[in-house]
Amino acid sequence: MNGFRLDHWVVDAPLTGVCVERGGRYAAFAGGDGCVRIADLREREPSLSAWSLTRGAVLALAPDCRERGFLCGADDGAVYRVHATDGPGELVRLARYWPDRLASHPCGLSAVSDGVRVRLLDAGGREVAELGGHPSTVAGLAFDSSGRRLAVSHYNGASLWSLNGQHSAPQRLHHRGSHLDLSWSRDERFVVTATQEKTLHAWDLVSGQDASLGPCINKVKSIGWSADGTWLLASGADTVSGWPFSDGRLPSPAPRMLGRYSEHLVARVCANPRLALAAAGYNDGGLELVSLAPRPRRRSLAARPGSPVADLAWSPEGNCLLGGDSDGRLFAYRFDTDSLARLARAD
Amino acid sequence: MAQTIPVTVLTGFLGSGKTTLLNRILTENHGQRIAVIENEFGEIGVDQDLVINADEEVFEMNNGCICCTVRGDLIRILGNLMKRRDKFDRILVETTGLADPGPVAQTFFVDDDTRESFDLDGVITMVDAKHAELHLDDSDEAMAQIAFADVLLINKIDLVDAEAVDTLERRLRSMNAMARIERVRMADAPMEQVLDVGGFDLRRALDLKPGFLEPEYPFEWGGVLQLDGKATFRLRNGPDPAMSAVLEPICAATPEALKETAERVFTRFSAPAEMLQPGATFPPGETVRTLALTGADRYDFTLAVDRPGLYALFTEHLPEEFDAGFFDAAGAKMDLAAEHVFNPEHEHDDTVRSVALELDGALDGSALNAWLSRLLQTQGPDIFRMKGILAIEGEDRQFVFQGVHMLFDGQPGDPWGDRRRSSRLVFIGRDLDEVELERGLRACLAA
Repeated sequence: MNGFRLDHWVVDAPLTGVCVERGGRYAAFAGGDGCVRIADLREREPSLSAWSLTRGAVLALAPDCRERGFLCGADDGAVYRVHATDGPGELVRLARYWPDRLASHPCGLSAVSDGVRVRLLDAGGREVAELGGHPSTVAGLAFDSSGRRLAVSHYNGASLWSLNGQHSAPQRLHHRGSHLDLSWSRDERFVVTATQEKTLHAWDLVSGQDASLGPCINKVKSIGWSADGTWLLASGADTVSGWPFSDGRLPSPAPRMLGRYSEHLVARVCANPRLALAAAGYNDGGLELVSLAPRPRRRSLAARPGSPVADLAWSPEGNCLLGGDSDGRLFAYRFDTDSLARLARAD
Repeated sequence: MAQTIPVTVLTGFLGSGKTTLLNRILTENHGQRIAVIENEFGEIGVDQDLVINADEEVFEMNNGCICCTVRGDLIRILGNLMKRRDKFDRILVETTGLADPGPVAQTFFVDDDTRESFDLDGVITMVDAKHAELHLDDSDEAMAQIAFADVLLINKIDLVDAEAVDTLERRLRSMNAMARIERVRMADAPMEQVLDVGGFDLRRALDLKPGFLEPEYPFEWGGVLQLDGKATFRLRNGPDPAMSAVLEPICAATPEALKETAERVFTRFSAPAEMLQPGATFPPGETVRTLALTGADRYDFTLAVDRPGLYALFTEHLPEEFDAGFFDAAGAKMDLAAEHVFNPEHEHDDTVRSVALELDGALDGSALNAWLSRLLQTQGPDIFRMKGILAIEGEDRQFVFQGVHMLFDGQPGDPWGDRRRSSRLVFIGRDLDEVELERGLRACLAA
């Protein structure tokens, strides 16, 4: 499988986040120098156009609910909407806290963390609700697939807010400890958090049961779901960790190790949104594609020694993989769809 | 591997001068970029510094250990600071007056990301010379702040008399034998006293020298008299039918001279004493005399010196407990030229104190492991800090360790070489049973 084109750039700032906007054309790289850098993936040799937002760091990056837009949370307290070609505009400015958690949904809603509260914004950036009363600073935000609920993680569990316009008391999911990153299964049945204690915690909203998954070797920094929704994938071990959710029940705690073991830990994992494969970024800067077929295969993309992979993102069509490391080495792989599909099938 | 960033934790009760010290550190021309994490925005950020607000959010770990509490907000803030291109040279964490420093310290043991990028350099506790005694009497948090400290700064010493500062320092010392104690006025501590302390640095645990109080004095009181020939030391019935005492020439009539002389006569009390019946002569000299104080209602002893001058009398109890007085040859009451009360620690029965153990010989590794883990499981919540240098059977190198509550880390230290193998441990904790600890450690000696 040589069917890809690689573009790479080096910038003088650690990568703090990467994503592709909902239209799939533009990728954004957020930096520890307060800049967001945008690449047009339709260009044959894309260049980065940099927009400077703050003197400090851009702490959070997410696609905007509209195409061609990005949301950026800066450490001066401001949330910017950055248009891929027109540049940034300030959306909201927090008085006291860092807007370090952001989420959006194509239905037009965006969520911004503000200490123990979440500010819910409409597509025009107007605040539609303030969701408060969380027991600690918000550590994870995620809309479900339909955009009807927002899940918020914090100490001792998570809160599920119904976004039906009433914003009445949330459903509380309880489990002791500090819950960080958070993810919905694609069918909205399961909510999973990564915890401070190197485990994941999964709640089954249908049966009302919950279970701890893991532990992993390290704290889990990224979680996600395979394209068909049957695998929960996580970083934190010396290979991609996966738990099967295929039979509609909570899996047993021990993860399946997908692929070969590495002497380095997986720092980031990112499931392809269309195909049965995932990208894994390692602590040494290594990058691999792992097929999720019954007999998994791995394909190494980068084996150079470097600093930990800081973030990874697929384009919505699943043919572009973006990422970078904490030393500011950024990359964009654009794959030939057929060869990617062959890897996914483990042909 | 990038260099780790040192983190200094600043604790102390409200009004102890934390903010003054913080201001000093930030405005002093040290050329370092400092990020301050504090519980309220203050107007103190200057130029290249950054002040971040924290809410002191503490969570309990899910590992079943009640003392495993961690500052999640600190993990998040430190993680965000690491994302910046222009990293800081140093981080200061200021806690509220009521905060327990435990969760802050434990954060650096528990979270791998924090460990990787940051080094907990030390806990600095500001102590208000005027109000500290009051706080220590009624606050567990104040006790914990003393117990956790690597450096104790007794602040505002100009507002109380020197004796009160001495008393406070002795009290602090009895609680925390590992901390360095400094006296300051307007929080004017030199930077090198508060930065780069290395309180959690295992390499520096090697020069573990707990500053224990001098062992308890065998006498409670010392007084200076100007003697020429003979004088009478008159006592009445007191709490004890006998009392040991010693008379010794002294160079000056000051409490300092008394303390120095006390060091010299200290060891004499372990030698057999000579019994003195009432009416006997009490000369200066090496021998400790035991004054018989029973069977009458007045007991006179004759202090007799060959050479006129200043003499110090040290007594096992306070003279006022025996309604004692001194009279010259003409029968006139004599005044003391100076006096000092020794070792008044027992006035404070603090539950928090330090225990140091020292044991010759090598320890059995697995026995030690079992003892330590049992100890930490049962008494972890009560053990604030511990440090140790251990001699393990079959190991050529020292093993150094340090810990907070139930969490600890350790590593091999220097080779023993020709040195005598011995283990030293210091615990700072609440309700520690020294005898039991000593017995436990002794049971780990290799056969």
